[in-house]
Amino acid sequence: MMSELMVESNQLTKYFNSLLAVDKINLEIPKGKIYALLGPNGAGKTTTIRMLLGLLKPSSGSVMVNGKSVSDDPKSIRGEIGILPQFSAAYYDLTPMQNIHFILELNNISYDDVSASLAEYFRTLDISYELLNKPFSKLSGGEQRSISFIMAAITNKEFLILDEPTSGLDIARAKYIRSIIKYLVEQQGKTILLSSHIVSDLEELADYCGILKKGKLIFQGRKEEIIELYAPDTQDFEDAIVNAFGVKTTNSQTFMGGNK
Amino acid sequence: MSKEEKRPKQLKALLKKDLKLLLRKRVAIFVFGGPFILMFLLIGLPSLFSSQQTMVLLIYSDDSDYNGINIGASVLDNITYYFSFDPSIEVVQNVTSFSEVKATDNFGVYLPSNFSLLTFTGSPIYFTVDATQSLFSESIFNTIHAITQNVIATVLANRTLPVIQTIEEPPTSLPEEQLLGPKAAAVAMPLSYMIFLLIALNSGSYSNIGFAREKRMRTMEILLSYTKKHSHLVISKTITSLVASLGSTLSYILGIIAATSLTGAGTEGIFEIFGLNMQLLNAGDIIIIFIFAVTALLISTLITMAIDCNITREASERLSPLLSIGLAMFFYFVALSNPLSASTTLVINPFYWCYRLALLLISGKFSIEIIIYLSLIIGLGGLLIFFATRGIQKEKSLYLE
Repeated sequence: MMSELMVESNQLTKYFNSLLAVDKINLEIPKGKIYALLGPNGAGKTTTIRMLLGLLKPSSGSVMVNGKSVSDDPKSIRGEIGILPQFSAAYYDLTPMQNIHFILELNNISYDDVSASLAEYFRTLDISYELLNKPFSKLSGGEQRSISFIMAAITNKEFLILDEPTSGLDIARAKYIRSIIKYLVEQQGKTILLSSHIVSDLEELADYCGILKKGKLIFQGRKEEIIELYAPDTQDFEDAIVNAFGVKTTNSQTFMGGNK
Repeated sequence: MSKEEKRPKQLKALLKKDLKLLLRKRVAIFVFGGPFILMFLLIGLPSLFSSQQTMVLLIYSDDSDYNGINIGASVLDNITYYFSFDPSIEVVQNVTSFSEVKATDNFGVYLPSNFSLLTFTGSPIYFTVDATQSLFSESIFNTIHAITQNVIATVLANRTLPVIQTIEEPPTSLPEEQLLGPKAAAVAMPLSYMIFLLIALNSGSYSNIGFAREKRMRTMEILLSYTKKHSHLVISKTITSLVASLGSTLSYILGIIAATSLTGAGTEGIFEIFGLNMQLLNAGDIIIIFIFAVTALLISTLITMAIDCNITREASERLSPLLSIGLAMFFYFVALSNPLSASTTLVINPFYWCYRLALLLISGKFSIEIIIYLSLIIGLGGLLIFFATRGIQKEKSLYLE
């Protein structure tokens, strides 16, 4: 499918006791691109991400991340991937600044080396100095998400996994986060695995898509291909995703028979 | 930057973060301020109202001499002399009649008029102490009785009034004490109390800094993703927990010192609080006591952590302090009943291993027992670190919330 791959899995499978969470998926994420991992709730996205991070051991199959076999040696990948988890990534009792310092120290990054970038992040996402010194718990949901995003981005990893990066953000901050993501890929050559349910994010950002359904990877390819395959009539990306998920987009599926 | 250089920095970063979480206002007040406030309130506050009044002991002798010897007067002299060294008893007051003894709420000793006569004829003697049934008053009664007996015995032997003097007698040796020696005997109770106290104070603070909290805050994923060596997570939490517990203990001691200073009695410090006999023990013994009390604390922390990492958050928050305190309590109460004997009921209790090993080392009895207990402690510690680290690396730490 693609030339140089950041992630390559082979028949990757995960069982939780008898529950099949991920079913023999062959994921291929090219370097320097944004790959959107999509799927309805419970499709296996988080489990897949955790296997890429080396946090979960596959039941069978293998996965390589940046040339390293994560399934054979999960330790090899630790600290190599920047992560924005679905839920907050920060300590609520520490201030945003203390949280950022912790992530920098954990990744052996000097604050002085990234202070200019941080200032730019704060300016772009409208994070004031006052806000940075409040307890994280006192911040609004959008502010918390923005700080968590900065904590992932500032680690300067080649590969970033962003789970719902714009969830809970206001329109302006969501727009700026998208622009930062594009900048990280286009200007810094980073690879991003994006998991999101927000169609505008996916439409604007995704180069490639993978669709998981009940643990199976039912589609993997360029964004244009998913439209051709699942919504040839409407040429609408949202329709294509909904169709791929297996929900019919007839009027009977809309609320009270109204417009979709 | 090589991995070898990076790893200690990760441990430093983790430790810094854990200590920051420990020192945040809400937790610090609870962990470091709580024991101080508690002890101050429990001991200091009541003392403001009561303990400044030292106890008064009234004595009265109606005894007249017999064959020229007045034993009653001698008994009263001895009682007065004896209690002149006790700061909790106000100088013994001689009163002039028995009715004065009866008319007061103070402790009183009354010797009848024919006390000397009865003594020499070998008849039963009754001397009255107006005492409640409290342990304290009972101990005074026993003391007075012992003084009286000594005076009578001396008088009967010498037919002269005894010279007042202080006699220090060594306590009666039990067989176990004869085996382990007086130093171990002096350490046994203080050490068992110290271990119990450290573990009891530790269990409260751990829930604020342990992995259960990381799970609750959903920060485990970040920690596990970025930390190269997961044992560093366990080490960092262990060190933080030790800091919390030692800080709590220090706060507890300071609370007692501050509270007792209000009474005017004044506690001289840590050794007196734990009942350590510093005339008998040397610096090496104190270091051994400290090392093994901290070792017991370390094991308690690792037990909590191993449970924390391997079962659900809610279950671990309930089970781990229960197990840790349960083991400590069981150890403490069994040790209280027979402090120097080797206990079979405690043979699987790791706190007892630390305790017994400390006693053996202090007594200088180098035997196979030392090697066994040392191996058990090291083995259990390693096993608990292994289980904790392994638990973190399994999906349990992420999913079992």
